Parts: sequence; C-alpha cells; structure tokens
Amino acid sequence: MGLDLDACISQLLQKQLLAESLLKEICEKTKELLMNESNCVSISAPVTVESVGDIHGQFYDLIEIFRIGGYCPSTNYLFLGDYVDRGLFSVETISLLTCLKLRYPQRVQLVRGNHESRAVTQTYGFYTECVRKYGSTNVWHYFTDMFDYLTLSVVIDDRIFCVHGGYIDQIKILDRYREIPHEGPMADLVWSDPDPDKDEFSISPRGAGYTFGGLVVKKFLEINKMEHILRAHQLCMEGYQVLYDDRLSTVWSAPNYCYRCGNMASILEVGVDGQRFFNVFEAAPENDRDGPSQQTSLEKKDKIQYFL
Amino acid sequence: MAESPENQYSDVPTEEMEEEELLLDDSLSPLEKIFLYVKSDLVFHRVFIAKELPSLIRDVEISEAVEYVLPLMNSLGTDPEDHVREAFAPEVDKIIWFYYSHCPLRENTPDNVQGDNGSINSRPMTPQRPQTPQRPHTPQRPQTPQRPQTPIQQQLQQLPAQPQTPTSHLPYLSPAAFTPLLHALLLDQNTSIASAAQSAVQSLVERILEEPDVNPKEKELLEKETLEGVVLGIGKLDQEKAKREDLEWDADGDDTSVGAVAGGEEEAELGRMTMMTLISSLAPIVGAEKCARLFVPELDKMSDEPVFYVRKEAALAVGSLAGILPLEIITSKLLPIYDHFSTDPIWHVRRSCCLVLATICSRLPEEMKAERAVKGIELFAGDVSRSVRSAAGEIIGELIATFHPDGKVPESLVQHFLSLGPIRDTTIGITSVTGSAYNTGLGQRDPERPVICAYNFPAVVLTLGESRWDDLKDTYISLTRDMQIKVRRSLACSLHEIAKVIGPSKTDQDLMSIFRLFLDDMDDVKSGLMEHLAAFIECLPQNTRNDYLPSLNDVWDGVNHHWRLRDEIAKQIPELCRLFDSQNVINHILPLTIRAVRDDVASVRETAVASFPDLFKAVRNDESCYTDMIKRICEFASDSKFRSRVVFVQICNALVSKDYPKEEFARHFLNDLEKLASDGVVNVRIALARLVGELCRMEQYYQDSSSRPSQINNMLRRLAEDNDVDVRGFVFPYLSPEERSKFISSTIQAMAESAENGLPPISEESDIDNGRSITQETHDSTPIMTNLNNEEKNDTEKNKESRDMENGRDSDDPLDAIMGEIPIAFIRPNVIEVENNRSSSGLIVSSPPP
Repeated sequence: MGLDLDACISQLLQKQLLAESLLKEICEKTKELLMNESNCVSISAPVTVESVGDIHGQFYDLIEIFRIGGYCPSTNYLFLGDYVDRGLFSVETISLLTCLKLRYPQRVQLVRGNHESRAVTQTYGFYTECVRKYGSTNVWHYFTDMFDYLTLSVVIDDRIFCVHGGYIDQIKILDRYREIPHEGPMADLVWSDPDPDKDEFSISPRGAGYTFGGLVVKKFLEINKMEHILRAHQLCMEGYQVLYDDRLSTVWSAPNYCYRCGNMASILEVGVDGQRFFNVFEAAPENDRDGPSQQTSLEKKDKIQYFL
Repeated sequence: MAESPENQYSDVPTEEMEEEELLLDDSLSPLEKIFLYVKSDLVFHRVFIAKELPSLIRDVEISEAVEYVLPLMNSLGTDPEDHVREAFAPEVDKIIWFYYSHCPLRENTPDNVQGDNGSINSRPMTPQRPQTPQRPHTPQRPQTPQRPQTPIQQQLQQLPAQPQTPTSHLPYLSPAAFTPLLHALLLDQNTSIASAAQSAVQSLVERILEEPDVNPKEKELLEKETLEGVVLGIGKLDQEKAKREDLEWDADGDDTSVGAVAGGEEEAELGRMTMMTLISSLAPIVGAEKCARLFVPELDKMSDEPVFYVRKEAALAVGSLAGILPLEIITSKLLPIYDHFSTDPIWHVRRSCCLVLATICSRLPEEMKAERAVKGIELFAGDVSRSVRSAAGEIIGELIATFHPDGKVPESLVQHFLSLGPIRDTTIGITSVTGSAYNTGLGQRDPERPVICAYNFPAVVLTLGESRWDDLKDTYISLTRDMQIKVRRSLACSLHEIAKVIGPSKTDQDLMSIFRLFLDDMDDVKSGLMEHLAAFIECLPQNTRNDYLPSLNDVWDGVNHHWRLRDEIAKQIPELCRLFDSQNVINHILPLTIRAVRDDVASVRETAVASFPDLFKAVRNDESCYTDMIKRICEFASDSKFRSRVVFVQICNALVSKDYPKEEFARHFLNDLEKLASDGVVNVRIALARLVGELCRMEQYYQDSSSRPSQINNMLRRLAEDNDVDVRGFVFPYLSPEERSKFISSTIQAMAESAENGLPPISEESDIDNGRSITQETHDSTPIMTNLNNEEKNDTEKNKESRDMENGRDSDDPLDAIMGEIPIAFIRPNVIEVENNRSSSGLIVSSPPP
C-alpha cells in the first residue's frame, strides 16, 4: 500500500530520519494539501489550540512540547513558524511536523516563518544539515519547495489573529506561493516586530519588515473586530511576552535557545472561550545527552546514583 | 530571529553546490555512488559515505563489493582527515560483517595461491577467486544484465590491481582480509578512533561467537583470525614487521604507510598495550577456555615488560581474566603477576592493581579473600602516590561488598570506609594504624571522598547488616549534611535501600528526619526521593505511614514548579495504593490522583490516568469506597472544563485496558460516555471515538456486533457521522455493513452535487453540531480510506468487521472506486476557509510609512 504516515510519525518520534524518497512523496502530498489552504486559515470554535512559537530545530524541545501539551490527534496544534535553522535537528523537526500536518490536517496548522525560506536556510543551518544528513541537497529542495505553500496566518474563532512576525496588510489577496521576497507585504508578515515604546510604524533594526506600535495594533483589532494578536519571532527570556494592554502576545518555544541562551519557553493554550494560558517549560533533559556538548561517557555516570 | 535578510545570500559556496548537483544524480548505482564519494575531495562527502557505507553496501553485488569496495575501505581507514576516520571506525564492524556473512571464506594456503595466478595472494586485502564456482550454502546470485558503461565504470575498471574479470561469480575472501585495516584503526593516534576500533573488534567477536547462522568451519576460521591475527597479532608487530612490509594494501598504490602511526618500536609498544586492552574487554565474551589458552600465556610474558603503559593495561587485564578463570589458574598464574605489578615502581601500574583488587577478591575463598583484601588496602591506602591512595578510597565499598552475603568483613576495611566520610568531632574507634595511614592530609580533604562514601554506603550497609547500623549512622547522618549536591542526591536516591536493611523502627527513628530534610532540598535531591517514594514509605511502620499520608499533598505542592517531579510522584500512585487500606486510598490517594489528572502538563495527566485501575483494585472489597470512587470519576463527565471530560474518557480507556469487568463498565460508565458523543469540543469526541473503537475491537467487550448495548450503537452511529475526520476514523471500521453502505451512498450523492456546483463555499457555522451538510461529508471521505488501510495492516486480530471491510474493498465496492479518485480539493478540511471566499473579516489596517 501507499504511504504509511503513522509508521513515519512513530519513526520520527524516535528521532530516526526518513528515507529521502519518502520525504519526497510526503512533501509533494503536503504541498497539494497546503495549496488549498487560504492565506488566512480560520479555525472555528469551540476549539482549543496549543500555540507554539519558534522551535528552530530543537527536536527534543519539540518532543517536550508534546509531553506538555499532549500528542496528536488528542490535542490541536498551531505552529507559528521558524521550525528550522540554528538547532541541531532541523531535519527531524520539520519532517515530524510535516508528517503530522499531512496525517491530521485538521489538528495541525503550520504557519510560515521567516526561516521557512531558501535564502535564510542557506545561511543559518538547515541547508548544511540536509546535506550532512542526506549527502545531497535533494531533501533541502523538497522542504523549501513545500515551504512556499505554507499558510501565512491563522484566525482562531474570529478573535485571535496568529502570524509569525506581525505586520499585516491585505493578507487575503496576497500571492503567497513563492520564496519570501526581500520586501513587500509577505516579507513584512514574517519579519516585523512590535515596539512597545512606539505608537505607529517604524523602520525595523532587522533590515526587513517594520516595527509597529500599540495604536497600530489597536486599530487593526478594531477594524477586524478581533481581540488579540498572537505571534512568535522574538526571543523572550520568560518564554512569552504580553504587550499593549493584553492585545498582543509573543510566544517563544525554543528553551535555552541555541543551547546557550538560558531562556524559558512556553506554549500558549487558547481555551474554548478564548482564554489564554502560557504553559512555561524548560529545555528537555535529552539536550544534555545529545546536544552540542555531546559527551557519551558522562551518560553512565549520570544514571547510576549509588552502588549496591 | 534577529538576523537581517541582507546577509542571507552571503555564504553559499557556489562551486560546492555544483559539485553536489553532479553527485546527486539519481541514476548513479550504489557502487558508483560509493566510489565517487570516497574519492571526493570534499571532506563531508567522505564523512557521509563513511557513515552510510554499511547500508549502501547491501545494494552492491557481492563480487563487486569484494573487488571494488573492499580496497576503498582502506582508503577511508587511512584518510588524512580525522573526521572521516572518526566516522568510519564505529561502522567498520558492520561492513566487515557484511562481507563475512555474504562471502565464502578461504584460508591462505599454497593451494589457492596457484589458482590466483600467484599475483594477488600476497595481499591479504585482495579477494581471491574461487577455483570452484560456488559453495553449496551460499545463495546463487543471478547475473546482472550488463549495463552500458558509464564513465565511472570505465574509471573503476582502470583501477590498478583490479583483475579484469567478469563479476558474475562469487569470490572467496581471506579471513585475514581486514586484519591490516583493523590494526591501522586500532593504532590510530586519535584515541577516539582507536577506542571506536576496539569496540568494533569487540562486537565483531561477539557476532562471530553468537550469530547462529555461521557455518562451523567458517566460524572457526573467523574466530581464529580475529583472536589470534587481530588481537594477539597486534601485540606482535615487531615480530611481524618483515611480513607486514609486503602488505601494501592501498588499492590505488598511493603512499600507504599508515600516516598516523608512529615509527617501528613505538608502534610495537602501542600494539602490545592495545592487545592488553582488547584482552580485558574480550575476556568475558570469549570465556574461560580461550582465555586460559590464548590470553594467559600473553600475560605471563608481561612480568618483564619494559614499557609502563603496557604493564598498566596488563594489570587491568589480570583483573578481567580473574573474573572468569577458575581459582586454580588465578592462584597459579594470575596472583603471582598481580603481586609483581602491585609493587611496580610506576604508580599507574599500582593504581591499576588497586582498581582490580575487588574483582580478584570476589573470586577467592573466604580466608584468602580477607587476608588479600586487608593487605591490599593497607598497601594501596598507604601508597606514596596520591592517585593510588584515592583509588583505594574508590574501591573500598566494592571490596566490602565482596563479603556479602555471609562473609565477615574485616574491621579495618570498615574503618577505612568510614574515614571517607566527613570528619567527626569525636574520634572514638578510629584508632587503627591503617586508618590513620589512609587519612594522610587531614584538614585538606578531597571533595570526591564524601561522594565515593555516599555512593557506596548502601552496599556497605547491606553487607554489614542491620546490627552494625549504629556504628555507621553517625557518618551517614553527617554525610546527609554535606555541602555537595551530588552527595545528597546519591543519598536521597538510596534512602529506601538503607531503610530496607535497617527495618521499620530504625527507619522511623533515624531516616524519617532525613527524608523530611531532603524534601525541602534542591530539585536534584528531591527527585532522588520521588523516584522511590513508595518504596521508602513501605519501609515505615504502619502507624507512621498513615500519619504521613496527608503530607503527600505538601509534597505535591513542593514540586509545583517542576513537572517531571510531579510525574515521578504520579508514577508512584499504583505502588502507594498497595500500602494503604481502602479508606486511606479514598481519603488521601484518590484526591492526590485527581489533582494529578487536572495537571497543566499532559504527561502528568496521562500517568495519573493510568493509575486508576490500581485505585479500583485497592477499594474493590469495600463497597462504600468503591461506589464513592465511581461517583468521583463520573463527576468528570459533566465537568465544565473540556479537559476533565477528556480525562473521564481516558480513565474509562485505562480501565478497559486492564480488563475491567464488562457488566460493571456498562452499568457505571456507558450512560455518561454516551452523552459525550455530541460534546461541543472535538478533542472530547476524538478521545471518545478512540475508546468506542477499542471497545468494539476487543473480544471481551463489544466485538460481537449483535450483542452491543444501545449506548454503544448510538455512539458508533453518532461518531461515524461526526463532521471531523479524525473522530470518524476511529469508529468507521466498526459500523455495520448497512450503515457503511448508507454512508457510502450519501457520499456518492454529495460528490455528484459538488461536482455540479464546482467548489462549494463552506459555511463557518457548519462546524458546529447540526449545521452538517452533505458536502462536508464528501470533503472528508478520503482520509477515512487512509485510516481504513492502516486498520487493515495493523489489526491482525480476527475482526469480523474489518474483514468484511477488506472483502468489500476487494470487490467492486463503490467506495473504493470513487474514493480513490477524489480530487484533493474535496478533502480540504471544512474548518479551513476557501481562499478569497466571503471572508468574515476584512483584515485591513493602515499602511506603513512608505
């Protein structure tokens, strides 16, 4: 028979890579699925969603998220982008997320982040990781081609607008099926940040997107009759940050970012009536055993606590 | 994150990309791929192939593998880049085993030298052609059709030393084919490569000895070559040097000298050291007979070994061999050389002796053991070298444990052990000469000593027994106040073991206060307690247990910030249930469990849910408690929080998985479950559908569709019509054939309608209960098929429904015919809006500044 996604998922949960040919098929099918999603996917009530910010290839911390929020299909997930780059296991991370999306299209939403792009992944690790793990660039091509089809935003229950970066303009008529350009509305969506000290738009120090202030957010929510903007894209030491009188939240889901920042992470649970709860967590213990300072010799010593 | 897109394009090495593009040509055969990658100038290509070779080689024709890949292995094993050899060394045993298990072996004899035209026999790395075409037990390989020659094949054929022979019949392999390669890796100056090679040799030996499918003749050949050629051979490099000079084993004829290996003499010394290390690690694997025959004579020669680092490994090998050889050989052969090494002028050698003292003692009869242990520890604890003295501290606990269970531990050993602990105010009892000799440098204490003491304490208490606890407890208690977390963590982890030895009243008296102290300690210490919470409580007297029970809530509060510790406690619930009567279970353990199933973290909830069968078991014989328990559980079914309703379903699932009686299940839970079939939150319905599917699958519940209660049938029907595909997927296989065909015909109708109308807009209200439209059912039909397929594959049980389903699909089932061709647009989940479709919100804001 054809593609056994359940087998793929359990293999990936064990952190074992899928074969290149399998990934090709999975990415193709996922593209077909994503092609039919709107630029602004709407999730209707009553629904609960675990919203996840940047993961950046920190595979073990993604597993930690499932331990905390529950596994699919029992739990609904909204991932806000930046799945790859920086961490050690971008391939495993995006493979797992893609398989979950394909297996449970209604349970899992994947929004595009600024790292879901050919240009950025060539510089920040995903490209190199694909070549190192598969011996060629094929897998990188499969995934980055698939990235072009990812949706740009999600609206939960008509009240919470969810996007990777932030600035939003005429999102519905955007032609999104392409590489993220240097500038323009699509770049703004994935690159922008809020600036708590400003009211209006300003130039972003990132060199892409804008920064936007409290007034912009307030106006956006009023026009669209919404309550809240949820986004990721910025490291928060506490795992999350709430701004502008509870009108905007940043959720960050890569604990101890780059294995050295020492920050907390969180996932935001959006309840049936739109209640929001940040479930904060730390880096998964597996990072100590299979992280950048991988020292297998220490492993044994850690486990045995006494002699009997 | 904070990177700017301006430097996005900065470092893409273009020529590297082009090179890869060349290599990722799908038309390359595995052999071509291996060849190109090994010969690549890019390090990461060679690293990649070094790791992938074990799997890639399986797709290579065996004759080609012998002829072409085998020489390439030497090029990987001697690659100038450490990274390549580092990647290759851990894989080498798998590759070698591939050859051993696919290729017939033949020893080098004058006989087959002739048959090989004499040319390649002097190179053990090169395969030999068989004189007779096949051996009976090797599978015949069909001759592969000759493909047109690619440039790579031409290149391959131009390789020197490759006989131009057709590749259709099986070559023979010399058992010594890999010996030079293994030697080179074992002698690598990069120690991580050398030790990876040692592990490779070890697993190779294991496989040769244990793999059932090796023919006895070949097994003997391989065993002989690996143990004598590889292991003993590496200790005789000076003798074999002349021979080795002939072994130019790089296929390319490049400069083949193993660059990383130092010159002759030093190499021979390194070789002897490696041999000793291999003997140590292989002794338990090869068994007493081979150890005595092959390894003991090598050790015999070690007494006049001039190089200290060889003697250092030899002393360790003495310990390893003592572990498996009979007493008579230990006393006649091993002890003399052990005693000789024990007074070696070099401290490294003496330290090795100290480290194996316990192993040796463990094999000796009682009196001899006591004498050797006391003399040994005196010697090493009084050594002039600090390293040897601290090694004595490291082994003292293990040494005492060798007297378990019924030996009498010499008192001086006990005093030695206690002297590792924190210094006590009073020095009563520690007056022995050995003790003070051992305790050189009082005042500036080694911080590792309390760690070692704490680590060994359980073994010492166990060996000395409850009667000696009073002599030990002062040291123990002062250790619990040690400044180092790892000391306290070790003690916290083992507290229950001490408690088991000293019994309930002493546990209550001496350990309870320590237990409370550790509960307020750092997380690392606390978690040590949590892991054995039930085991410790079990050691308390019954009345103390009951008094303590209400504090479990405080314990939970104390780990509020750390979900893994809460999970640890939740894991103890089943054990705790066994320690208390039903009233205590209902009053204390159930509330704790209910706290745990309301936890913010899914894993903690799952762990707690899984403990409910044990809770039920604990109150089964107490009717009022039992009824109470059911009442409390059913309250979850009508809880306003959706998660509690999910928990209710999950608890039912946990009960079912532990064979909860069917009649009681129906009586207590089915009505509440039925209400949830129309729950507003999809996650509740998913959990329910999963449970209902399970119930209909399991023979001891409702597999028999004719006797299903109405609640089950109602739930099945309702969930099968759910507008969510994941809900339907769990129950669809268990519908009756009529229900399924009804479903199918409505699907066909819906498809026809949607085909007429093109893509219908999907209303948002439709997600909620009654707004279900025919179109929606259409959208989601294909995923159901996916799910069915999975069912078929996984469910090996004789499930009538499933088989019906399968048969249906084999025939001209309209579902099969039509579902297979549903365009992707139809499976679009209905919660997702169609692009540019009448949007609920404009999503417009003012534009940014230009």
